[in-house]
Amino acid sequence: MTTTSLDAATLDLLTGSVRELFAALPAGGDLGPALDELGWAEVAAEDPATATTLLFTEQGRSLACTRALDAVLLAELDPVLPPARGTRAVLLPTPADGDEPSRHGSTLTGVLLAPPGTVDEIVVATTHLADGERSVQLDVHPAPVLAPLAHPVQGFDTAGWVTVSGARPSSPHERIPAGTAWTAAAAAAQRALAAEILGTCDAALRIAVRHASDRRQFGRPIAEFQAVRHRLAEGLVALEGARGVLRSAWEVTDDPGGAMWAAALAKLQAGRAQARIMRDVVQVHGAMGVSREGSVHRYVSRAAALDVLLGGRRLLAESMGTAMLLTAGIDPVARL
Amino acid sequence: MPSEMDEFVATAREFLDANATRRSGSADLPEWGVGEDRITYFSTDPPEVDAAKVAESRAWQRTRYENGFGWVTGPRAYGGRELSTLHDLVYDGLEAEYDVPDTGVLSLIGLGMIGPTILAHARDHIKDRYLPAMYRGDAIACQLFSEPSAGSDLASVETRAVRDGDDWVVDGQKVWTSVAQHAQIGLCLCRTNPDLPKHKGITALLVDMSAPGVEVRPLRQMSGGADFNEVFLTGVRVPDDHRLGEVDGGWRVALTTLMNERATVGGEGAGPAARALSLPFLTELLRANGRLDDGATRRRLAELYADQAATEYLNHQAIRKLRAGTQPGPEASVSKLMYARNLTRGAHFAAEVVGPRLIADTGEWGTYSWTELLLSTPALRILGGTEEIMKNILAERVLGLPKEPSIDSRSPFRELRRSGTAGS
Repeated sequence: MTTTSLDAATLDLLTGSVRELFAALPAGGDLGPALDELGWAEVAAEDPATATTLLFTEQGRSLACTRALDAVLLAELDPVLPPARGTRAVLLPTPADGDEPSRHGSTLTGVLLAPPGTVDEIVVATTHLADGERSVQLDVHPAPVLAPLAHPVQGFDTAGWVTVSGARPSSPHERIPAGTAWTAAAAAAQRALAAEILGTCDAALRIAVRHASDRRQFGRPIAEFQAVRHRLAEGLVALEGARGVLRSAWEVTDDPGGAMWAAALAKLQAGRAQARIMRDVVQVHGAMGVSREGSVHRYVSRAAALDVLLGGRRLLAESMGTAMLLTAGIDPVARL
Repeated sequence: MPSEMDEFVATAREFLDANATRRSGSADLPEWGVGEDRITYFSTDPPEVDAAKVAESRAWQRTRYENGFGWVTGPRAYGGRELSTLHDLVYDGLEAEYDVPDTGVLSLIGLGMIGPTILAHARDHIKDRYLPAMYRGDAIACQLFSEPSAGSDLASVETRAVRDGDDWVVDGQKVWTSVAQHAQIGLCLCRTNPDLPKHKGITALLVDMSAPGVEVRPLRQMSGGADFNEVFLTGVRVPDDHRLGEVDGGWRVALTTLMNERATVGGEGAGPAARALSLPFLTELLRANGRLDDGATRRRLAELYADQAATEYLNHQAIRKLRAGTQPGPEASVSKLMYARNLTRGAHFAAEVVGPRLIADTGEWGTYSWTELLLSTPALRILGGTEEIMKNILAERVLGLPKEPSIDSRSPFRELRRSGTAGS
């Protein structure tokens, strides 16, 4: 169990620094040096739950696009991999596969947070099925090998992600059995993504609160109408519930099975919260909510994009529901 | 602190072992197709069964009280232990492992809400007279608050109290009053000065429910039970020393009660409904209905569980905050909302699975029995502050949205009634 060891004043200070850091970060900028300057490694070592949640919440709030998620995955994967030859990124499963790496075969699909040219090596997890046993292998490819397969993600969000799709390269640097490292990495990434989604939600909800308090119709702020204020209160309920599940996920990280469940649950709740909150935030903004002149649409599209990474809410709900029904003794609630 | 708590736990355990039977682990989970086919939330027992259960509750509360567990947080002068809310929660957790009578009829309103209000606002001899009686299980208390025209807008109560010598004479009607049929005393909000604004002309009186002029009539709910009532007060005489707080200062008294109400509702996690909505039971429901393979059903099941996990964690967190000596924040209102909603969604989930057998009792086990739970859930979204009122609180106090315009807070209550703003 992780206990919060950072006091409230330190936390406020850190939140302020991280927020400034994201505000100053140029598009496509590297978070690493700025975090080093903050002494982030020490903070993260002292209280990983608070540090990770804070960093990704602020990333979500600022709508920044960084490779911070790669760092989260690599923290779990690097220990089983040979020493890196330069910088590494991780190929994330394509959204249709949820948190399951693509099956071994002639084609390779996935998503990168940034173009392959920005790193030296790319770690590709692949699911192998042999004699009914499922295992995950980690292939380390030189980044240029994947460059021909990479295309910028075309869609309504502009996070700068890259899809990888095409014939699987034949010659990885290394192929290593992942053991439980992939499961742990995916769980850690789901917790980080949940925090990032909730950061976008928090920012969007605040914008809506301000708008509803300022915008006057019928001679008074629209926030005075229950049709408006109750939507925003519902958003708060969704946000607080999802935050609770995320915090609880950080309390079971020592137990691999529990960690996997709790992380998926946190990601599911965050995904559902964003769907609810973004719908209401847009509605509260009226016509301004559907126009690109305002800022709301950026939160809507980012949250939706983050939702589909490593298990979208529908996919997760279905796979978790299946496991609950078919695996005796699984009760995620009882674990909390 | 830890050793003191360990000692408390040890004495509580000793008391429970000596006076109650520990549940066997599996007895807590209902088995599909076995035993009584009922999923109750509110009582639907006939009056004689109900009365027998109330007698058992009183007897168990008396045993607790005599052994120092009747009012863990209460002052020693009234038989309490002067321990923290955390001790109270720890005791509840321990007691849940034993098969003991449910004391909700005494505790939810009387001991949980009215007791603390009497303690804060009554004169000493009134405290001496009622508090030990309440916590010993002799006096059940009810909340004579809501009226036909004053529900969410509680400050619009119209029940009149007029001073006559050393007494007040009370006339009016209360409604949706839980446990009034069992109660010995009731905390009644009365209009004493209609010339003041609505929050300012209210006085709180402690009414003897057996006094002449008090008439309790049951209200049957759609779930079949009748555990709340309407209460008619006709020329009821209440001595002035039974007043809580100042004359016309009853709203402050009411706020003490309501604050304790929010703390009470939302924390209950046991009972037949929670057991019916547990994963093993729902799995059997789906198996029996051939729905294990349905993708949409699986999704909804996972979502139900995710929501339950969220609610449990928020409750958990509130307890931890108490442990750390801080007051729970907005998560109390949030978890009250979520708790009611989870039960509602759970009941709807089951209703959708059993289909038309929810409406017509075919005698098939585990089908029609969901009706009672389904019909109980709307009440959960209303009692203890409607969802709409809770959302107003969250909007104003947590999100910082502007207050709703209140057109009726400053004018004298008498004018509001005339203009039809209060009630209809």
